Amino acid sequence: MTPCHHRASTGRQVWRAVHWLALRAYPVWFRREFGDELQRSSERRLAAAWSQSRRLALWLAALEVADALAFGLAERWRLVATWWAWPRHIEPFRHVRSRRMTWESIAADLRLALRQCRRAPLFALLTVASLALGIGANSAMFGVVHAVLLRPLPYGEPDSLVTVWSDNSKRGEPLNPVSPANFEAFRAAPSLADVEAMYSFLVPVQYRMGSEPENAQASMVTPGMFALLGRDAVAGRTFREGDPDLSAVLSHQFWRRRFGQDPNVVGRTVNVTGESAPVTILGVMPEDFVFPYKSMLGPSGFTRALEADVWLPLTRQREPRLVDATGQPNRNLHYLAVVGRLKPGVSLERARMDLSAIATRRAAEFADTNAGWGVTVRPLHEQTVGSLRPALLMLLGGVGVVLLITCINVANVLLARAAGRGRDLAIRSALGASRRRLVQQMLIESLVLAAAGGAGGLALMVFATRAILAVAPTTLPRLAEVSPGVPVVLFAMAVSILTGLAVGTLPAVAAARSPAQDALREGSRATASRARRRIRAALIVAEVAMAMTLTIGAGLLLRSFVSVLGVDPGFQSDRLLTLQVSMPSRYADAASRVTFYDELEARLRAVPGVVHVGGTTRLPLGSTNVTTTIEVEGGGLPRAEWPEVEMRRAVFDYFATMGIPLVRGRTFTAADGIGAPLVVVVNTAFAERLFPGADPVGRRVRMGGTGTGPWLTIVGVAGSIRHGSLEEMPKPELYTTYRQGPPVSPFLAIRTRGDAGALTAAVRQVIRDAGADPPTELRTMEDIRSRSVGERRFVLLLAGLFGALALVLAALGVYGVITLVTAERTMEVGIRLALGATPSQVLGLVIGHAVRLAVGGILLGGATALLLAPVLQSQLFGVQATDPLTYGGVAALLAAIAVCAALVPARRAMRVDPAHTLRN
Amino acid sequence: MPFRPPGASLPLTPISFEILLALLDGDRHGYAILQSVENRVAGVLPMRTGTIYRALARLMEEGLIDRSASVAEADDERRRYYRITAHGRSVARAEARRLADQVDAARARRLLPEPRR
Repeated sequence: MTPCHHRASTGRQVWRAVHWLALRAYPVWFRREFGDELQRSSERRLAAAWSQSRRLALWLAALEVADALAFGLAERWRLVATWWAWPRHIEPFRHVRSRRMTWESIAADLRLALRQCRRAPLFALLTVASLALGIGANSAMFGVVHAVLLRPLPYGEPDSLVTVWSDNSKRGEPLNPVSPANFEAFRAAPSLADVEAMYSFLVPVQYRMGSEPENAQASMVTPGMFALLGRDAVAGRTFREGDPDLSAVLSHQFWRRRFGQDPNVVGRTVNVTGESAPVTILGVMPEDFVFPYKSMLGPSGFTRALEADVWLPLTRQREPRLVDATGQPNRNLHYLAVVGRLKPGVSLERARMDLSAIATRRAAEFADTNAGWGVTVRPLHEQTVGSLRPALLMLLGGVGVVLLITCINVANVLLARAAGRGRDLAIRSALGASRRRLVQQMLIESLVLAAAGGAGGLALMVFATRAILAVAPTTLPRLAEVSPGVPVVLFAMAVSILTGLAVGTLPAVAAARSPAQDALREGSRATASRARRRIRAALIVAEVAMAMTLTIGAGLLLRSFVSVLGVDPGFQSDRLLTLQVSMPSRYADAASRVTFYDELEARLRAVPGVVHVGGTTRLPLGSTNVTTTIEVEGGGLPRAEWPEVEMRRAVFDYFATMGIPLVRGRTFTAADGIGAPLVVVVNTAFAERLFPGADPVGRRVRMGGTGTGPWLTIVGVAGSIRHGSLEEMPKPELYTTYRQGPPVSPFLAIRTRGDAGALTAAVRQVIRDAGADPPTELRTMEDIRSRSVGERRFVLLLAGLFGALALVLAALGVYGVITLVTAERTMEVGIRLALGATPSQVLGLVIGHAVRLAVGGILLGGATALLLAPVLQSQLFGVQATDPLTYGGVAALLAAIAVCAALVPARRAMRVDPAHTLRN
Repeated sequence: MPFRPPGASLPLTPISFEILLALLDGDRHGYAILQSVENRVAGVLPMRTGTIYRALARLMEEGLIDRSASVAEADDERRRYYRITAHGRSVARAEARRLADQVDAARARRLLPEPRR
């Protein structure tokens, strides 16, 4: 052979391989019928062309490959486009059998599946409905988890944003607000591109546009905050260095609510109470911009307001507390929430090291204020939603278990149907259908059911999402951002497919495994094989186990909720009306303010039904805390270790009104006025912490942490009350009296004789008559207390719902299987009865079967719950995750449910007529 | 195969018609059909290899042609032979009539000369 021939034959081989690959574009049936021929014909044409012109042959070779691809895809598309009209088209290719799934076989199975659904519409409907319920609930829950936990925060490159806190390791409080001096120091951290700060609380501001003053919540942010967050105004602009101090940026919601989305608002001025000049509106932020989320403000930033309406610049000119008396950044007041951005490529660990180094250096340099203070760095996302993660993931797991139980029920029914169709399958198999083909058929059937369930679930999800949002407390961060978007729909689709596979696999495998001859020989007696019976029993045990675990979880949450509600807050919350009043600005000095308050008290006392009138600057269970560092006279502690305590002003007869008991000494009297010796009342936690074993009455303390303030004498010890929440232990706290420092906008508490809510109108009128601005935040203390457990109630509600669903589904599962078993054992029961068994023995037989299954599930589920106990413990209050009462109660409940579910089929079995059965 | 009137498949594509014509001479395998068609209409119809086989597939689906059992010559036995079915014959006839009718119409309008007798 010449080299030329060699080359030609190599070229031919290469072309053949390429062409063979290109032919894969054709559907498999086409390839089988024509593939070899097609290639051979092309080759021959190429050979003929080669003898004429080599160039023509090369062109033709390329053309043949391109044609194979194009025509092949066209043939495939034809299949897709006309699949519904199949029989006519596949007629000549019936004999072509593929080992793989083919379009033809799938289409045939689809039609078969739809026919099955039509034949048993009730079964199809119930199955689809229960799957829709499961998939819908799961998707809705995932929607919440996605919006709250998974979606990035609405800032530019949010993953590199962190929050920085001062860590008071000695007191075990890692998330303290930062002092202005430390904030300035943190700005120098080399791993952070930018660091900004805001008040760790929202400030109520009162502004006046028309005649009526209106309230808004302001967040004080350093001017660079918006640039740090990577967001700009949608109208106008945000702050710049060197802006006038009296400027503001509005939130989109506030702009819509109060300004009717007026585009000319930028540049306008607004009169704000307490400001010397009108405030200029610089711009409006975009609609999706939320900052700060409540949880970003740290543990003390608990406010009634949920989000900021306006942002005001936090500058030295505007905020004198940023510097101390010497003009240096203030080291002793911790009240800033700090946000930073990591430089590109810098790890969180690195930033932690940098900032810790700064904190350590400052602790050495300013031992009097900074000793013992470290630093805590958390990703902003973690800070915002981290506390919700366990509860939400727990709920997602719970609703997932509900879907699993649904799947088991559906799988069980499919299994039973597969047994009923054993003959049909056996005949198909005998006629040459491969096992793979039978499995495919069963799987497609279950996928069709799951797809329909998924479609229903998507519709249901919309309602379920609305329902979840309706019962969710407004304090949950990011809940407003929940909307069923693309990821949720994708999730629903993925869950549907997984559900279809999960539901279909067992029946499919069982169908494929049943030997054909057996099914044919068994004839009309539809009896399950031993293996199938075992599978069925295992499924029921698993189902009961899951219901057990889920219900134990819900039960523990319920017990926690009850114990939270049972917590004694230290005051009497019934018959108590609360509201916030604002001092009119015309009362400028302390003396006239005290006079105003005393008049107001007299008017309120005169309202019929009022028993006591009291007030404070911060109400318990649902408002901010203010803390102060105090120095104990003769305490001998270095300044950095001066304790930080909560501080409130008591207005009128606060202790008597709230029902807070006086433990030692006295409360405030009219004699404790301006000019009189300064006095304070402390709570028992304060006394125990700072004067263990000693009497604090008569001792003196100083506030502010500067060591320069006036001394205050402790005159009494009052009972400790729960301020932050019912679940938090009371902290050391001191009260001053309004007569020695009248607050501007205190909360009032009014103890009533009857229903507190009934006095709302009368109280409002009295306050207007007294010349004060209309009161805000009128709420009964019961309402506040109920809101304070809103998140727990929300979690309990969902967990309880899932637990109840699991119980119902488990009951249905047990009922279904016991019914099936008794139907199969009719013959046996008939024989037993004929041989002299009593109906009650038959009853015992059936119920015993159900109880055995239930006990297996209860043991397994109990063990699982014990394994999961450590995870759940963090969500519980006042109850151990291994609480025997809950475990025992749920076990008894499940056993009872199993017995009840078995009763119906058992009674049916009792009534079997032996003669009739045996004749058949 | 359910009964279908021959007219249901009309009009045939030119290639399909040519394939039926080629099979009227006897059972053939794919390449033989290709050659026969190419010899007749080379240059008039674009003759791509894939086109022929796709047309064969359509004709089979329609039941106009069928696999043939006969193995002619000493050819490779893997080679598949096709034959025209009775239904295919009547469809081809109907198509020929349809074409003839069209040609007659063209002649009536003097597009073509009258055929020589």
